[in-house]
Amino acid sequence: MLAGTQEEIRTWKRRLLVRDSLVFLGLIAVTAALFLVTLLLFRSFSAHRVELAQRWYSRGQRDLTAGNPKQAVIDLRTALGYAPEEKKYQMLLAQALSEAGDPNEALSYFLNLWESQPGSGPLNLQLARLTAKSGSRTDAVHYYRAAIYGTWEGDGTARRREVRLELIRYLLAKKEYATVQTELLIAAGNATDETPVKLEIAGLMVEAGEMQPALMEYEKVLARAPHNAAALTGAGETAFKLQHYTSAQRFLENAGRRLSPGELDPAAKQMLTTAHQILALYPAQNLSHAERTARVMKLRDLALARWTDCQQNLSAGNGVYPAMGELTQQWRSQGGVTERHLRDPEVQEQMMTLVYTTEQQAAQACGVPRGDDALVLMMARSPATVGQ
Amino acid sequence: MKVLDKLPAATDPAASGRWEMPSTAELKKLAPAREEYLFLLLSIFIGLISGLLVVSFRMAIEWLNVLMLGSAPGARQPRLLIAPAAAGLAVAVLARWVFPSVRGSGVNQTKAALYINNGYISFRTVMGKFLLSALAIGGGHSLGPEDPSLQIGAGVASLISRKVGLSREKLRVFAPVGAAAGLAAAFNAPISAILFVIEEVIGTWSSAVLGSIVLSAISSVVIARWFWGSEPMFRIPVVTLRDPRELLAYAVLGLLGGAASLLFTQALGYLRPRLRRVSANWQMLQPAMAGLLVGGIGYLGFPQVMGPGYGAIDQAMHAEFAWKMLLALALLKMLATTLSFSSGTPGGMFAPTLFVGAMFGAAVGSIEKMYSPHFTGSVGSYALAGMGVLFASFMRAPLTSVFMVLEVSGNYSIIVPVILANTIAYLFARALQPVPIFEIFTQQDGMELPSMEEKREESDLHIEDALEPAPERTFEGSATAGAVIERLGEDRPAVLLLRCTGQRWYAARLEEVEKLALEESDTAEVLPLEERLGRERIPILFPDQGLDHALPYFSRWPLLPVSNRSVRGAVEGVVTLEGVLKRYQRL
Repeated sequence: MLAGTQEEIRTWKRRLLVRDSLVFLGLIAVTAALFLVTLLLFRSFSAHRVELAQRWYSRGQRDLTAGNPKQAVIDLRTALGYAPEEKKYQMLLAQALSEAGDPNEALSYFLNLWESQPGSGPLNLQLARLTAKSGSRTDAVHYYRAAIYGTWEGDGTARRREVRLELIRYLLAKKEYATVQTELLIAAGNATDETPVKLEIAGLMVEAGEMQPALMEYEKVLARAPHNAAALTGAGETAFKLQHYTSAQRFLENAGRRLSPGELDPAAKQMLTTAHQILALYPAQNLSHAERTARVMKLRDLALARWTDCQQNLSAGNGVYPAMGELTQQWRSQGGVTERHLRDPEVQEQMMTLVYTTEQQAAQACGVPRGDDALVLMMARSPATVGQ
Repeated sequence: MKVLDKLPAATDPAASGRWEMPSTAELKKLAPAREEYLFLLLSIFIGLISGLLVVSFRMAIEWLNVLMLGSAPGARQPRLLIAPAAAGLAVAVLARWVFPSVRGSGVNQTKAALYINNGYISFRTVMGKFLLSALAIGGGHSLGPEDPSLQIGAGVASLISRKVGLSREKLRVFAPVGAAAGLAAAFNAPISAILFVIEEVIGTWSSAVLGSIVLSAISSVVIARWFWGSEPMFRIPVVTLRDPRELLAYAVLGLLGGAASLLFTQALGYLRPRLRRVSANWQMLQPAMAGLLVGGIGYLGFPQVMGPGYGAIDQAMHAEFAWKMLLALALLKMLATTLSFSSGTPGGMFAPTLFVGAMFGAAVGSIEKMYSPHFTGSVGSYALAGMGVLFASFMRAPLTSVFMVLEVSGNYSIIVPVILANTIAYLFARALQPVPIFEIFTQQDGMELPSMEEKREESDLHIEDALEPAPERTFEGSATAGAVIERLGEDRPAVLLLRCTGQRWYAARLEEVEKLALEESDTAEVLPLEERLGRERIPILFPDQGLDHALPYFSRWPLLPVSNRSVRGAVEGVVTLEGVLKRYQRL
């Protein structure tokens, strides 16, 4: 009886186990079936949402292109309702907000995006532009730098360089030349050998007043592409600003030859003319002795006439110039210098020093000169470089 | 063999050849731990299935929303008037003739299932809740999907536990397990769901169901996140409180939230019973009329109030509305929700509550930004705190409200302002409106469900509360009965406390010892008293145990010694039936 009863208890337990196992198998089957159905529905649902999001995104793009940013904001918000994590939509919405005349809302929107992706290059760039617009210099520079060191899809190096150049332009507009110099040095150091990049950097260096490095950048370009007209023009203009009139003339003439008539920009043309004129007056060391002496004499006469006119003008207007007496004394002491004396290079040197001093003093006392006097004054600013 | 004796003849496999489930009592004897294991395993399945259903439920709502209101609902669109009214009419017809038990949010219905119907929720109710709530919310009624999800989860649990054949006791506790799963999937926030079910459905922390609730909630969230992703519902910047004065703004938000919850509660408490008093035919028109009015609000320029409104909450968090608009939206949402909910349209109160809170919060944040722009809190952080504030004050779930804010944002930096604002709002709302909203609904529905707020705050009595000093004289069990009687002398208490071997105690009645002493005198064999009293000993009780723990033993023992946990065998005092009853009567 006892053995049989225990046997039956075991049977009951076994049956209970089988029953519970079947229950769980059933539950697994139901769960799996429900999961599959939900998955199929979810895929269809997600595809539909993606389609709706794309449709509204396209409308947003169209409205933005058509100059209707307010409608674009509505479209893009709807698109984001269906695809809230889509970065492309978020960026365009922020752009639309910015264009819709609400930079604060755009800034707020970008800052929210930034919270989730503080290392994003494009996001930091947009924030930099917005903060630059709003006049917050510190924030703008901070976001520009974050964009430079942020992550970019595709050609990150090129995008970072572009952002750095944009930062440089921003700093130039703010006249922060010291910071610009540092950034330019980094930009030049990181730049590839691509001509447009080098030219852009050189151009920015010119804007920043960094003429010597700019000229070097142009020369680097010319070493690789000697006939590049833009590089020749840039180098010519930079050399001109450095008062390297010989180089300026060479570069600009070369540029003129590479370009069709009229293509050389008027400023460069004017620089070329001026360089020609200066070099036509300048008593360069490589000229023949007679020619050089003749030019020194011509310049002496020019300076003396300028000084005499200036003195007369000052006397007529009862003007007083402090260094007038001293300079007059110098001219008096040079009164006996003849052409013969001027053949002596040492005397030539002394005479040229007096010429330059005279033109500079006359410019200060009597205003900006014209004609050849103006050219001599330009020479006077850096006599040593004129021949370079 | 005893088990088999009790088994019915028909269940004998040899006799009948077919399997019939033994009774619960028989099962407990056959496999004592079976139900516990089943309980835990089934919790996982309940979580998974509830999660899948809730994912489908949300999809249904969004699909219907696009179908009925269009992909970009905007002001002056006629469909904003037509869709909610048509959805309301369809819901009313189906609720009357096909799914009669689907009215309401789902929270009280789940509580009713737990406390009245032994955890029973019919399959038809689950289906009805799913379909009609999706239709109503998708059609633009100002209601949310969370509370229906809670009831759907509870319904799944009820259905599964019935099919598996669990005991009635287990059937009852499965309802909150499913409710937590449903809510967790809807909110993508397992901790908040668990806390809400404990705060609002069960009312007390019960270790018996906590494990299962956690398992089911986590399982459902795993499913929900598999489909929807694990990103928090809302994202706000990290909040760094640099100036403590900013907490004042959060305190103001707490007060405003408390006042708003009072207004919301009063509006629902006023309109709902009045609309339910009319005839059944008129009641059928109410969801359609409510839909028309809610649609009217949307048509006139506030489509944000239609549906759950999560998109608008997100916009408010990103400071896309001016403070006047935010206040308008908050007030209109309260109006729209009062209309939708009071009309008997099935749908939840969670999302509208969060909407109103977020709008008030963002309004306070925007105003604060105008006057104190140097404060660090963003409008988003105020909106988030506002959500918690209204949840704490309107739903009366303060603990859930804090965790909900943290979970839906994934941002723990906001905890201090949230706790401050929520506490103020909760206390303020409680002072102004002592009866919570779910209790008001319960009363309106003519039910008597336990008040969770009171239940939470019930102070359970412990043995230490009825502790009396131990008798001055205790006796060694190793002594003889005669020796004990002799030691007693003239002063004889009714009960003697005997210390037996193994640090155990025995409370002997005087007459019991006297009888043994008398027998002792008649026999030559003298045994220690403890041996003559048999092996039975008083159960060991400790002061921290519940007072009700002692009650079953008084039928056997007149007095129960209470032991000290730090010194084994030491008696701290005693409890008597009279003392315990007196203590209960003092409550």
